[in-house]
Amino acid sequence: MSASHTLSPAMPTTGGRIALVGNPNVGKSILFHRLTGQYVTVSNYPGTTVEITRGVTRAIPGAMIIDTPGIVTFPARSEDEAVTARVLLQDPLQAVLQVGDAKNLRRTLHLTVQLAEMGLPIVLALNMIDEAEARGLKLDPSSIADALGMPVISTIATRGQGMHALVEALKQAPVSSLRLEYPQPIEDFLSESEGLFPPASMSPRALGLLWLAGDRVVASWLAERLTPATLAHLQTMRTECESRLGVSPLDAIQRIREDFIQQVVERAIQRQSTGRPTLQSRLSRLTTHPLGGLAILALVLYALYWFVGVFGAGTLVGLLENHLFDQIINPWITDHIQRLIPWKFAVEMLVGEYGLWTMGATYAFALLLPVVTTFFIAFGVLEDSGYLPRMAVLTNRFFSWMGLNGQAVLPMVLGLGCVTMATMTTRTLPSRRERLLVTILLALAVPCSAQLGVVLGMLAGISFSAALIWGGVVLGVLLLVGWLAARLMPGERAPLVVELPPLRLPVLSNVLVKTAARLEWYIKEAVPLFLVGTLLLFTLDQVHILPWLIHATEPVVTDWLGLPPEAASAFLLGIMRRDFAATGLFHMQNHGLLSPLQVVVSIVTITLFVPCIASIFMIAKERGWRTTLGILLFVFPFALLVGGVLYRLLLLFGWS
Amino acid sequence: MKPTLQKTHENLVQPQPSDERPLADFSTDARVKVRRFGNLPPATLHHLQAYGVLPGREIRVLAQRPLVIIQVEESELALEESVAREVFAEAVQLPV
Repeated sequence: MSASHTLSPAMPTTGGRIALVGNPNVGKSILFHRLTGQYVTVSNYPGTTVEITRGVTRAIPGAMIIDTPGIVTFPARSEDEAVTARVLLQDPLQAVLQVGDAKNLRRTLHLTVQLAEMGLPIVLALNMIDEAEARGLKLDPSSIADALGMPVISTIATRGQGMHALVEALKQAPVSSLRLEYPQPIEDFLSESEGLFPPASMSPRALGLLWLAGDRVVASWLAERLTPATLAHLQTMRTECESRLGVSPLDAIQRIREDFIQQVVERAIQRQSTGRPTLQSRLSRLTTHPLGGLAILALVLYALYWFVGVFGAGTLVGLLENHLFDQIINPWITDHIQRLIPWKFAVEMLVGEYGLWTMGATYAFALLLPVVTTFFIAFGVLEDSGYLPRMAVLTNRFFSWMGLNGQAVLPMVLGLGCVTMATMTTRTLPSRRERLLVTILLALAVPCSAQLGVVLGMLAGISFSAALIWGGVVLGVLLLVGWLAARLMPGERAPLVVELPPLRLPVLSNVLVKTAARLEWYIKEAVPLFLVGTLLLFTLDQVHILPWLIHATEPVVTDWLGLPPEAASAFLLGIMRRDFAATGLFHMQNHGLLSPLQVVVSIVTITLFVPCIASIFMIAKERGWRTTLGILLFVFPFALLVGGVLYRLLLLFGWS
Repeated sequence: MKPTLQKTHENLVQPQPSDERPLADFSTDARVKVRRFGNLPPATLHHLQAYGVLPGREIRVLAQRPLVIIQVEESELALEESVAREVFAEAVQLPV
């Protein structure tokens, strides 16, 4: 056994970081904002794409508060949860503040016990104490504090209650005195392994327990720091412990913790009356009712369509793009630039046909900004109301067809707003397999609102059967490709297990704060992508590749899809702006250049054909260039294939 | 006042091991006590346990369709049928 890792108790006291840790849906973010006010920064946790919010609090000078992703339990399951584990493992922490849901005391304590064992100074905020009381639960925080050996403060973060006491407790947070006795084989492992672990923020005892539980974050962290021989030795010790126990160490550890929690809960809950079903709980039941739930879902989706598609993409875009930008801002800027800059090349680059301002910025701000703003507001309302997991429940069967579960509904619905944005939210899905599947389906068969508006307008001009054909083909492709991809891709489908939080009336200020933060993201992350895309298009045009490309694709467009040659340029421009393709075709339809059959074939093709250039960049950012190339090499030919086959089928059946 | 668990102990006398059924086979509003887990992916199993679905715990079945919805403490949890088939429980008291 190597003694090179002799360990002094790992208790970094400098750095002044306080980690906010808790289950999802316990009001952690609201409490974070209560503590920090507006002085927050959002950044990726080193080495991951997971965002962490940090802020300072004036109440505790020099302390920085870190809002970690919600975690149900250790070992961590998703990429997000793993970040929380890493913060506790390696960040220099002054204290841990656990935010717990008072009405779910067992679940809260399940995490508390694990955090207490880490040996970091800790305070427990029993939040939403009002909701617990409304359900007939009366809690005694002092008995919990005694049992766990740490301060326990009752809070109602939404009303700012208990914040002062919480801050005071944080200032002198003690290390919990809790020490659970595990079965002898585990205790033996813990005392033997203590000297083997490298120094960490958490105690060697907690490290040992996580190692026994098979925690992957701890395993990879140790692999980076220990010699292969020490690691192999630890592995042998774990196997030995397991065979002595006769059950998995995690089960044995869990049982001891549960027994302890049971005792604490029995003492801490002073009164419990079984409340009658409230209006809220009846409404909650209705939202997941097999029939009533679907009716509500239809209503919610219609409201979403109206607010984002009609009001945002229609009314607001009309005002901004047609009036403000096209008639006032753009002529003024073009005029000034033409007068101030003598070089034709620079003028073209800024305000020409493919100008950074006239195409890129106008698209990003006049067309997409109102769409994403309305979408973010609607999304924030859905999020805060607790409705999203219910959508997952209702759509689970549909997505299970595609090897996914109901959780995929979130990025897919977001995709109807903006595919670029939706591609980014795939990171909330638990497995790599699901993230990739959803990304492919988004790129192929989910039309974004910019495109959807024009497409629906064109279909309305023909007939209901045209709309049915379009919808049927796109939905069919979605199901077919999803079904095939799910079977071809290695890995297993994860069954759905999701918490349904209580339905709540969203707080407007919360929704607006979130919307503002997301818009900041949109402007920082997505807008530059549109500008880069424009520049690319401009370059292609300047070196005369664009006209050549259009010319080169004409035979495919005319012979295979049976469309007029002009459609080729609409298709290619669609790569830059999804709605350009649609608008180009709309224009042709208005001038009588397209028959109804050609309209259907062309819009089916463009719906499947192009993820816009910004979404291509986003796919590359999230999934890497190799995957992106693979997706594109599949999507482009496949869209053309479907379009051509549809053209021949419609001809065959004599549809017009 | 007695905490909830007292109730569970009183009812422990009544059910026989043969009453064990998967969660998916209970009627709506049934109060059940979790007995054991069948074959579940480890990640799903630990997720359930973290929410408090543990042997010995009393939970309520709130709905069976479109998914199985259970109440654990004051939380509602929706489970796909494939999961609910692998969680075995016994009835604590029949719904009225």
